[in-house]
Amino acid sequence: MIATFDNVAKWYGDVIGLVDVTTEIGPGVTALLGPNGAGKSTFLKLLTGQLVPSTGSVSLFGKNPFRSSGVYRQVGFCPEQDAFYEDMTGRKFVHYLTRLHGYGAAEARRRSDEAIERVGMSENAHRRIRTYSKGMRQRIKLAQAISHDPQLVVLDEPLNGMDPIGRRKVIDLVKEMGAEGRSVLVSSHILHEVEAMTRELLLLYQGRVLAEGTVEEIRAYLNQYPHKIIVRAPRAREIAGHLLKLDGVSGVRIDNETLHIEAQNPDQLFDALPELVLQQGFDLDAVEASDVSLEAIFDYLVK
Amino acid sequence: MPVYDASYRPWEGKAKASRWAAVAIATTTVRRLWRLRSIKWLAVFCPLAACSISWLVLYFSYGEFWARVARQVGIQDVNVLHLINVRLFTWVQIPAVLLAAIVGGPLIAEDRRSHSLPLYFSRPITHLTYTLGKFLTIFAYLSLPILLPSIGMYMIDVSLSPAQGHWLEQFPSLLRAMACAGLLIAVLASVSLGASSLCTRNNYAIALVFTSMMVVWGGSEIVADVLDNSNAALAAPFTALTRISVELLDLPELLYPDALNRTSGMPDIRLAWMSVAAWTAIPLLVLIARVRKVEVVS
Amino acid sequence: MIISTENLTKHFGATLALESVSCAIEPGTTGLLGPNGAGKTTLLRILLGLLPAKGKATVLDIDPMRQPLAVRARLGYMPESECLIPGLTGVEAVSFMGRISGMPSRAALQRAHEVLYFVGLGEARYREVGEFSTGMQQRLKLAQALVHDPDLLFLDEPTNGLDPKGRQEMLAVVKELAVDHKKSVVLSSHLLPDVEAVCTNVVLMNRGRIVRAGPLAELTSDSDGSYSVQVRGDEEKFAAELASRGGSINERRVHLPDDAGTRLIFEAAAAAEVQLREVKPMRRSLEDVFMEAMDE
Repeated sequence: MIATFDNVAKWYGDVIGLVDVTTEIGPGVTALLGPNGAGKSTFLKLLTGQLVPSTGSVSLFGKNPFRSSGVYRQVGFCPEQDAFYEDMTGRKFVHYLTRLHGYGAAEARRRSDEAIERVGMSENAHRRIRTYSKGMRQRIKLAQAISHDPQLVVLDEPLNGMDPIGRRKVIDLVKEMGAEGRSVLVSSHILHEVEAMTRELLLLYQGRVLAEGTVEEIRAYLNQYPHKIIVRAPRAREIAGHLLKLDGVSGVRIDNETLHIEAQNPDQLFDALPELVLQQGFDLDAVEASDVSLEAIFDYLVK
Repeated sequence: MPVYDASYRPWEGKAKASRWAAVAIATTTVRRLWRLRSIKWLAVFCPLAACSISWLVLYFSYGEFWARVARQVGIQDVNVLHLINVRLFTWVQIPAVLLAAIVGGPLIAEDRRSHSLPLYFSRPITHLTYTLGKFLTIFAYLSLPILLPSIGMYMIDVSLSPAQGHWLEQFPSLLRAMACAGLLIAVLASVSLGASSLCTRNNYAIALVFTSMMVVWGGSEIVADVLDNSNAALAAPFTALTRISVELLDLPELLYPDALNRTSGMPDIRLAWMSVAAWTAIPLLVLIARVRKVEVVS
Repeated sequence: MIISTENLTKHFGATLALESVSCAIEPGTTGLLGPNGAGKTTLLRILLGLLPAKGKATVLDIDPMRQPLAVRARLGYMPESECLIPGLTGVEAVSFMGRISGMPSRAALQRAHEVLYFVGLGEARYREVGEFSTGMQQRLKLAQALVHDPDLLFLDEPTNGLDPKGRQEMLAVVKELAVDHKKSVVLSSHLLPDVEAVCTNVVLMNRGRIVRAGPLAELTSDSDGSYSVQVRGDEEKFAAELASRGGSINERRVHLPDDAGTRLIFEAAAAAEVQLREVKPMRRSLEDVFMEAMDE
C-alpha cells in the first residue's frame, strides 16, 4: 500500500476537518470526491505531510509523512491555488522546483524539460508565468508535480479553468500515469471528467469517508434506492404490462414512447428483456440504466 | 383567482439608460463607505471641530475681548468671518488630503481590483456616467470637512451677531468662502480619482494621493525658501489655494497665513490660479484617458 | 433571430481576434464554445457594445456599435471573473445593479428581493457579499444579471468553481429561465457536459472564426447507425454470436448489417446467455464534435 490512514481525525479548534478516516490508497488512479467543505483539502494536506493529524496516524510509503521529509521525493503535489513566482518563466519554475529534490542542474534540466514536454507546454515554457492563461498555469503546476518521477501524484482540482483541449490532455496524462503503475489521487468537482479518468472513488462528506470503491460497487450497496432503467420503444403500454408482472419491478412510468422503470432487482428485468423481444415480438429502440453514473451515485449519497 | 408562478416574475417596467445612474452610483458608494469607521470619524470630526472653534472665535469677536485684542494688534476693520474662513482652509488641508486619499484613492482602484468594471459596463451607462458617479461620491465626502464648515460659520456668525440684516451683509462672504471651498474640493477630487485610476490596489492609491500631495507641498516650500522666490511655493495646490482665498476673502496683510509671508513678498495671484487649474485639469485628463482604456472584460 | 453578425472582423494591433464572423443565433439557449483565445470574449464584448469592430452586428434588432446603451438595457451579463462590489449586502448589490440599468429605486429593490429568492439566496440576502462562498457568488452574479428582467442573458462560465450539487442547481435555474420564462441564453463554458445539459444550439469558435454552428442534436447525431452496447457476462461469446449474425462489436460500439434492428442484438445476447445492460443508438458527444472541429 502506498498510503494508509488509520483512524485519522483532524480538528482546527472547534472546526471539524476529518473524523474517523480509515482508508488505503493503492496504485492506479483514485478520485477524491466530495462537496465543498467535505474535508478534501485536509485529507490531501495530511497525506502530503503538511498537517499533523489530531488523532490517529497517516503513513506514506510506510513512514510518517510529517516527520520524514525523505518520502517527499516519492510524492508530486499539484495544489489547487496558484502560487507562483510570477516573473519566472515556466521552464525556470519547474527546473527550480525539480532541483529542490536534490538533482544536479543538468539532471534537473533534463527532467524538467521532459515533464514540460509531457504536459504539452514546451512551446510556452519560455514565457513568464505572469502571461499564462489559467490552463497553462495548471499545466505548469502539473509539470512540477511529475518532474521527479514520483510514485504518488496528488492533484487538487487539476482541471479547474482549463479549456476542453487542455482538459482532455490532462485526463489522458492522468490515465497514462495510472497505467504506468503510479498512484494518482485526483480531486475534482466535474464528475464526467472523473468518470473519464477512473472508476475508483473515495467520497468524503462532512469530514468522513462516505464511500469507497468503484461506481458499480457503490451502486450495489445502495439497494435502498430502486434501480432506474429507461426503455424506449413503441407500444410502451403493452411492454409496461409485461414488465409489471415481474417481482423485481416496482414501478413503471410511461412518458410517450419512453418507459421509466424502477426495479428492486435489475437482474431479473435485464434477463427478461430478450424474451420480451424475441418471444413477445416487441421492438426496443434503446435500453439504458439511468442511475449507474457517478453523478447519480453522488446525488444519492450527498443528499 | 389565478395561480401565479412564485419562482420568477417578469418585471413590467422598461429599463432605459439614464443619467441618474450617476446619482445611484454616488449614493450607493457613499452609503457603503460610510460603514468604514475611519472615514466616518474623519468626515464627522472635521466639520464638528471647525464649527465649534469658529463658534468660540465668533462668540468672543462680538464681545469686548476681541475689540481689545484688535486694538492692541492695530487692526480695526476686519471681517472675522473672512479671517476664520482663511484659517479654516489652511487648517483643514491635512485632514482633507487624508480623507481624499482614503475615500477617493480606492474609488476606481478597487473596481479594477475586484473586477467589478465588467459589471458596471455591462449596464447601460457610459464612461462619463461612471466617472460622474465617482466624482459625486468624493465630492460628497469632501464637502463635509470643507464646504460644510464654511456654511456653518456663516450661520454661527449670523446667529451671534447683534446687528439686524447681518445675514444679507455677510451673504457675499458666504459665496466667496464657498467658492474657495469648491476649488479645494475640485483639486482634491480630481487628484485622488486620477491617482485611483492608475492603481489596482487600494493601498497604493491611498499612498499615492497622500504622498504626492505632501511631497509636492513640502518640496515647493523648500524650493521657495532656497530660491527666495515665493512664486515657487505655488507649485503646491494648497499654497496656491491659500493665496486665492486671501484674495477672494480680502484679508489685511497683517493677518495672512504664514505660508504667504516670505521676504520675497506675496506670490503672484495669476500663477496661483494657473496652479489650481493645472492641478484640477491634469489628473482629470489622466482619469478620462484611463477610464476609456480600462479593460472591461478581462 | 436574436443575434446576427455579418463579416465581423476585429484586430488588436497586429493580432487578428475575429476574422469575418457571420452567425445567426436563434432565440433559445446557445452554447458558445472554443479554446482559450478563440475570440469568444471579443465577440461578447462587441455584442455588448464595448468594442468597435468592422462588419455588422445586431442584438435584439439593435446595432450594438451604434446604440450600445439600448442593447445593454435589455441584456443581462454574468461575467466570468469574481466581481462583487465589496461592502454591500446581497440586496444592496443587486438593487444597485438594477438602478444603474435605469430602474426606479423602489422597483429595483423589489426586483432584487425577487431574483435573489429565485436564484436561491433568499436567506443570505442581507449578508455582506464579501462573506459569500464561491457558489453563492455565482448565484449573486446571476441575480444581478436578471434584476432588470432582460430578454437576453450572456452567461460566462456560470458553473465555474461549483461543486456537483451547486452545478446541478445552477444549470437547473438556467434551464428554467430558458424553458419556462422564455429568456434567450448565450452560455459560454469550458465544461461541455454543461452545454449539453442546457443548450439546444451550439456555436463553436477557433482562432477567431466560427467552425461549427447549429442545433446540438444535429451536430452530435451519428449517421452510421451503430449502437452503444454494454454486456454483462461472457463478452467473447457475445461477440462471436454477433459476428455469426453479421454484426460486429468494437469496445462498446456495435455495427449491425444494413436494415437490421436492435432485435439482432437481443438475439445474439440470448444465444450467448449474457445480459444486455445498455443498448442505445450511438451518439457522438459534444466533446468529440469539439475535438474534431479543432483539428481542422
